[in-house]
Amino acid sequence: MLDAGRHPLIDVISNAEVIGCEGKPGDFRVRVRKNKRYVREDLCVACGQCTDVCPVIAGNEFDVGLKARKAIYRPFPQSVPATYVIDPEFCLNLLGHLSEKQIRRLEKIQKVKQRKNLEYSSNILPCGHCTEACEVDAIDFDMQAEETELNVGAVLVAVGFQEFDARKLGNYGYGRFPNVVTSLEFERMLNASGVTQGHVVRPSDMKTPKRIVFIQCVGARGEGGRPYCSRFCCMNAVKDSMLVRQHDPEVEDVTILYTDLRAFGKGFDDFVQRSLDEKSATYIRGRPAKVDIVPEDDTLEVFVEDTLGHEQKRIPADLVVLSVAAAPNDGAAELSEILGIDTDAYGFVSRRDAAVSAVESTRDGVFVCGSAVGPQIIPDCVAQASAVAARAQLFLTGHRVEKHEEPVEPLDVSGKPRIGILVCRCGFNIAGVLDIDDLVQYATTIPDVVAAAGNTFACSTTGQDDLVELIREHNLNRLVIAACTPRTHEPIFRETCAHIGFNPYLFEMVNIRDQCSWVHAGQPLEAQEKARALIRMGVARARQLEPLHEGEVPMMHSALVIGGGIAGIQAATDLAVQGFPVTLVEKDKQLGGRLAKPHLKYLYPNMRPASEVLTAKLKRLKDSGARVLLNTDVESITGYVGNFEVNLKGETEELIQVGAIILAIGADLYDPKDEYGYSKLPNVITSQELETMLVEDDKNVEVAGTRPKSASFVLCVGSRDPEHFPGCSRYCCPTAIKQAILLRRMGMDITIFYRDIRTISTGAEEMYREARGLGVLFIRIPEGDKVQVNGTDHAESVRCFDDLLGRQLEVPTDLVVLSVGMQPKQPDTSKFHDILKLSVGLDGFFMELHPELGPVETTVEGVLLAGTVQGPKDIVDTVAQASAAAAKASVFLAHENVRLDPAVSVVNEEKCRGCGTCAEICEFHAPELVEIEPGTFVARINASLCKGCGTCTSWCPSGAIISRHFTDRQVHAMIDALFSAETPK
Amino acid sequence: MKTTSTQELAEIAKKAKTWACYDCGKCTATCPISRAGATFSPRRQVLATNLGHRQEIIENSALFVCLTCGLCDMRCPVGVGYTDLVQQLRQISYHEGIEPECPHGGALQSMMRMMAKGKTKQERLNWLTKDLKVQQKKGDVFYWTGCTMYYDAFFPDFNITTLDGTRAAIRLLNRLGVTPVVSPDERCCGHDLLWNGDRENFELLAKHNVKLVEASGAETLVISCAECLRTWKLDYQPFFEGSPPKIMHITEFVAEHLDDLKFKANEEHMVTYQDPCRMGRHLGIYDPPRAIMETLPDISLVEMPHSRKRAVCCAGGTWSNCDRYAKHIQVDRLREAKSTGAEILVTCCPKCQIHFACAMKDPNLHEEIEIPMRDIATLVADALAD
Amino acid sequence: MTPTKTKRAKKAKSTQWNPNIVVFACNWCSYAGADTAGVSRIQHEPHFRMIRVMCSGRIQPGFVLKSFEKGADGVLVSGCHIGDCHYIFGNERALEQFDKTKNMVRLLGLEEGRLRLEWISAAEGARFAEVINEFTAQVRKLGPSPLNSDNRKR
Repeated sequence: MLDAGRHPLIDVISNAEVIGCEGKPGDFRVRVRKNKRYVREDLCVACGQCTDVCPVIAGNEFDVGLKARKAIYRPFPQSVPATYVIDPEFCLNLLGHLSEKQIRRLEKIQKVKQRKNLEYSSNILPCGHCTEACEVDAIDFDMQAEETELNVGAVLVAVGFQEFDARKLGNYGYGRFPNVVTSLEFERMLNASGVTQGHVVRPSDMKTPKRIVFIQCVGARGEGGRPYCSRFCCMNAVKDSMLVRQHDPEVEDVTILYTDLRAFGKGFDDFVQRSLDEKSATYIRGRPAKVDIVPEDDTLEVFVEDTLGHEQKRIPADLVVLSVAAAPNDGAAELSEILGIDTDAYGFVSRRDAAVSAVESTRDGVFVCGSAVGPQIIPDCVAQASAVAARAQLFLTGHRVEKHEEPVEPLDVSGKPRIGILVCRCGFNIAGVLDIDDLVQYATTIPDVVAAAGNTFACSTTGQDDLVELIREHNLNRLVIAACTPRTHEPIFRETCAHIGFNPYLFEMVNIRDQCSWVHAGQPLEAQEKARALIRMGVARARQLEPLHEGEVPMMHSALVIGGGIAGIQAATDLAVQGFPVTLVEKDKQLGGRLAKPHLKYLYPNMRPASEVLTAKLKRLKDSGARVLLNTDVESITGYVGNFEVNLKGETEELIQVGAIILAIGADLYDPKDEYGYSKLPNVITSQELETMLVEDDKNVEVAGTRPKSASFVLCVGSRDPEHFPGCSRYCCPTAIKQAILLRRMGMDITIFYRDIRTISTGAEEMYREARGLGVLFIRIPEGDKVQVNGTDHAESVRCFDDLLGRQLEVPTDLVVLSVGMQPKQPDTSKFHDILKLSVGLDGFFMELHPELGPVETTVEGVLLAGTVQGPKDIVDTVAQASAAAAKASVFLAHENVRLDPAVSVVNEEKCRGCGTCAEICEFHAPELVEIEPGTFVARINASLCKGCGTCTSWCPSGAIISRHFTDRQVHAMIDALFSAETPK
Repeated sequence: MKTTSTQELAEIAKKAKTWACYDCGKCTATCPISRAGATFSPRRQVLATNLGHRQEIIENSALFVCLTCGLCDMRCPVGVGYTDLVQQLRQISYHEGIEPECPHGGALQSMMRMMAKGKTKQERLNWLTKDLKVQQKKGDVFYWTGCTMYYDAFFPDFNITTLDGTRAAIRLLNRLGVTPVVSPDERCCGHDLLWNGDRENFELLAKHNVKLVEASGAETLVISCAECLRTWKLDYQPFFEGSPPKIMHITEFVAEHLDDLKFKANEEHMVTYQDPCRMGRHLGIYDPPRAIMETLPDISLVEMPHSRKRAVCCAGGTWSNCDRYAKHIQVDRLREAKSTGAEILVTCCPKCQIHFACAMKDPNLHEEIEIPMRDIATLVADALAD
Repeated sequence: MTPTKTKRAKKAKSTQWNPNIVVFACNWCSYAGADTAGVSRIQHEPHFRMIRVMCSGRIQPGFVLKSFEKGADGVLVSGCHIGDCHYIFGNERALEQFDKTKNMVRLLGLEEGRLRLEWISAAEGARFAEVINEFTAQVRKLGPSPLNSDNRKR
């Protein structure tokens, strides 16, 4: 959020709504109404003094009303912009609370003001505490709503979702019983910075509940009129059960009542397994009929059938948590109308065809991502958000980032340290607690300090001028600013330093606001002592600082996409249309991967022929101008972001240079070998083989010379199996159901043996219901059990234990279809693991940088993942992720140069023992052992790969590695200074 | 902060006999560090001292490159006491606020200085097993453990347990009928601090330790670590109030009582022996370990080409000079050890073990330099007949 | 509370011994968490000084041991939650280093309660404050470090 707020190319217009949208892609005119905030964003310094004095208390929306806020407030601590806002509903000054007489007087004054163009405040207001407290006069009760028109090339809709209102399901008692809470309310309680600092309590008596029951699918999968699955609730409940146990040992039982446990994402099944191993929760399959209150002791009781033990249960509970589903946002329909885009039957924003592009709405140039199209998990949201950015680029011009700055003559910073200190008052924020004059005086007593001064707002324009003056007047070569946190303000001061040629790495920031005056206001003496110590430590560190210089290497503006499946095609197209030269290499003789003939007939859920989708995709690719090389493979890759050198071999053999690489080599399908009699029995086939048959003829299926009259599908073959792939392959449930529907329509009797039905993608849950409606039988395979295929020369029946009947079922069958899961593609995965040094996860798939923050990025900057190379996913998710990878690649490619951070680790080769510890522990493969003379190895750190974490420095046995800007000397100097005797007043 | 006068430098020069230097350069030609490629010349220090150039001495970072292995002392045709000179000069440098850049982020120096401050009750003796007989306060023989327990805690990934040697030494003493004093109040001997130039903290440690041993009433002090041994035998001398106890290395003690020990035959092993600089050149103890190994059945000792006086240092020393050149020396030395055909490298200094173990972690050399290492006491203890 | 009681409470507080605690924090999570405590004005004990590094993986035994050597009464090492490291596994490396440090501290005879490792995220301002308060109380109970040269016992 902070990054977006600070980005020079992003304008955040908060507290605003769209009221009109005209024009065409590339030239939209969007009208925006900015609502009254009553606090001027350009003036507010977010000091919070207004909130301290505000007399009105209201419920805090961020904490779902469980906590209070004032009428003037900041919605939550990390909000962007940091500007405060006044809630007109509650503010005493705003009209709703004025008497008629006061309103009349106010109106009269307004008229006078207008007529005479006078400027004075409306002094009849009943309250003015905030206005008085504000030192920068940011509060403006005369503020009017503003309308602006924005001229933009594309519009992105990311309005998210809102929780299903659990009051609609009266049987669960939400709104009637205080101890029935929603998962969001529970989440705020669990959050360490939330309402109860992480302690879960019963709202009725604030006591820790001993027994907690989670009810899943509240408002989803048929409940409350919503057929779709909400995707994130299962994992959320599992996670909460783990968290609550870690936090509160008093909680004795957590029970999760579920229908299917939909742990479909990467690593999710492992997580559920951990929950089972740690016994964080009891899982009961069943949807409760109702929640009731036990009047005697005010506890709750949940009525449910354990469908696996088919036993009617009454589960006692102290707290019931409703896992509420995602519902469309209230404003989404109105916004859609304004933007001229369609919504689906439930009110989510519709997409034209998710398989072609996961983010295109029904109007050209208007894109949609995240939960605005339906419930999503965070990794998918983030991938889609990046995908939107890639697709939107089509309609934008001038998106290259170029830096044009006149080089400044660097100041001479050599010689003995001449340290200057600026102590910021931050208005009243620091000065209200700390004695600034004392700190300034104290600073002058520290050795090497040649100048010290106080300042009201060091970050303001005048403050920066004072700073420049201080540096110039005293010919400083080190600078210390004691103010707020370096995390927000260091960039600002660094820029000022750089602007006048003062090396920005000779500046040190001391945090005496966020970590001192704000948090020790009640102990000013101790706070003062702390501030002195922090300044002393800052000076000690400054003394040891060294000037560092940013490096730059030119960026190659071209990209390589490896793999010509659906992901590779999408990524190459999205990059090429932006004007970046793209090379797409495919080992095989044709493009299309699993979409190409003869692999796939129809796409679920809308049964679009795969060939049609592929044709559309290939046309887009052709039009984009990407260079396609078939029958060509990658031999070797060297270099780093901006400057990769790739050796191609095969039909085309050449050496190409690219700035970024997108890896889209796809996945393999599991080979069942002799499982379920696959290798022996001719009528046991894989789902892929069935699909190939359907490509040939989707009206008749012939296996081993006969037309089967019945078919059985076995799910999770090679998936959710610790021996092969512990995770869920995501695509198999809907695919099996799609195939089952096709076969059922041919008149066959179909049975599907499943473990959990995980129809999580858009439209899949509906398809599942359709299959059930058509008479497809679903039989649940008990936990830890497997089905058995019987027959000697061909399969005759499938045997499975049924929990409900409590006995073995034997289903006669003419055809067994094994729904095979995905596997990491081999040997390609190992090959690229070696040549690109990408991390591979425990499941064998390539690891993303971070599931939520970087779902397509890798530890190697400039190398991105698209599609199933990162883990199993279906076509819609693959396409979204491929677009995301293209967007992330273009972020690199749009820059003229690769900026090299100088605050990274470097090796003193004289000291290096060549032991390789650094190379072994670095996740980014920055250090490398180089043989400098026969038998003598030293480590060298590639500055373009190093992220500057300094872990290698602390592991280096000989002290050969130096973490620039965080050297041993600098840290030791701070420790020394911390304990050096304080100069007496 | 005290500054050193020219007068003091002259004193040092006199003591170390630097005025005798006639610039022949033999020291540099001998020096293992400069032979490994470092720009380093012992002679330069000597010259600076002779000229009384204080600033030159203080600012010369090469001062901390010297291993103080004493090889040049041996070779110097006119007997300049180079090693002692370096010890003195480092003190001057340290007083001027110059400290060596410590590997391991100064953790080990901090550990030593904390012990110098004293005041804490160390958990020093947790490694004592039930079969070891020791007493805590008074006795005829004081066994000095050294800091092996700290090293094992700090280098968990080195696959060596230097405490094994410590335990074995006590087992040997027990077998010889000695129940040694092993004190929980022992502190670091200060060897490394002294050689880093920190005389102040060294003296704190020396005074405490001397008092501790004197208070035990011990007549004999037995030590396993070569560095502790040198410190006790030479550097602690001024701190004794009464007459010092007899200070012996465990090998000296065992060698004297070899007749009282009975050995069994174990597996046959060919071993080679690393003379620690402190034991060898600093103190001239070469024969006792060899005498012991010759007595052990089924152990045959093969000498490395550089042994006894000519032995090469493990290039670790005082936790202050660890670099590419040190590694070079270690690798060469390990190659030398392997080329003898020996299966085990025996030494009697825990630091030798640590530094060689560190070198063996090299990802490119592996079997070229890998050789199992043993403390000599473990070799003897394992050979004891039941 | 009656006025006299308040007064007495204040007096009791002022005579209390205050420890000197060093906190090592990573830039992305725990340092940010402390900032969040600031933005939310969550008051906590002031007797600690923070040293910021980029990643908890940078926090080597030498830093902690030097702090104790100089007289720290307590040292808190903090970083991102496991799995949330800005640099992927830096905090797991920090954990290994911490174990090593802990062993050294134990051998040296300092109470284990003087050294603590905590994972604190950027959002957990309240938790940061809680950890600081708890740790301060814990160290206060242990009293001044034997190595604290002023030994400000009262």
